[in-house]
Amino acid sequence: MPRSLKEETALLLEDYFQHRSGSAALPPSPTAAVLRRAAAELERQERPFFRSCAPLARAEPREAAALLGRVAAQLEADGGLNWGRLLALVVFAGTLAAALAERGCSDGPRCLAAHLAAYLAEERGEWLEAHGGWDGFCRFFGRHGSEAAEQSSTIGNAIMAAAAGIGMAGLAFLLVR
Amino acid sequence: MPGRTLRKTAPPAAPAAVECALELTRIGDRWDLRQRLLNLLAKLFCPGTWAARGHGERNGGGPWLCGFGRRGSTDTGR
Repeated sequence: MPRSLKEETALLLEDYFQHRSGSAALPPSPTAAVLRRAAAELERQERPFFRSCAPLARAEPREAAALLGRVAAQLEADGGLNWGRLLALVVFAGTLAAALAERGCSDGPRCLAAHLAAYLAEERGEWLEAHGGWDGFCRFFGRHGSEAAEQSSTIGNAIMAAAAGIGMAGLAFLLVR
Repeated sequence: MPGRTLRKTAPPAAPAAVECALELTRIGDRWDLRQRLLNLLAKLFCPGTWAARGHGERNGGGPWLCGFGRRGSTDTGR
């Protein structure tokens, strides 16, 4: 059954936040799996910054949601949105959600997911629709998100192998001459 | 207020929010560029796979990679 963008976004964010907080449940959809993987990769690469953000989450979810709203508005104000910024924002929200959950605020992740979903679907819905919605996100990150390192190393290996082959051929040519 | 323009999308933000947003912008832009490059490389190295996936088809983690170094990657019958 087709869901609204807001519903779909809220479900994806809730799943990611729960996963981030340690839930072992399987991803409910391929899109959720892509979001989990891409977000985990970004969070791993930028861990020091996201760790430093955790203390910003106060005990009150509404404060964290307000902070998230301010950050989202500021983020978007400088040059508009792109998939990378959106992913960074989701990871930031996940950091706040995990911090709230750690402080015993079990409703925090759901509250933040609802706030961010409302912002993305209502304020940035036009941008999301224009870029293919969450299908567009999957197209952008899906093939390379989690396996970016693997892919870049694989392609890198292929390039290195080609370069080595050319180098050896050149050396052989020089020796034979 | 006369002589001043109000920004619709950027209400006054606390310093922490501004700092976070700046850093997230940098991280997001870097990540966006990185992914665009990866997508471009994949498109150059694996044009068949790119087309076969329908450029929008959701397959939830199917084999998108060209198959460098992957066993059986050359006999898929494509």
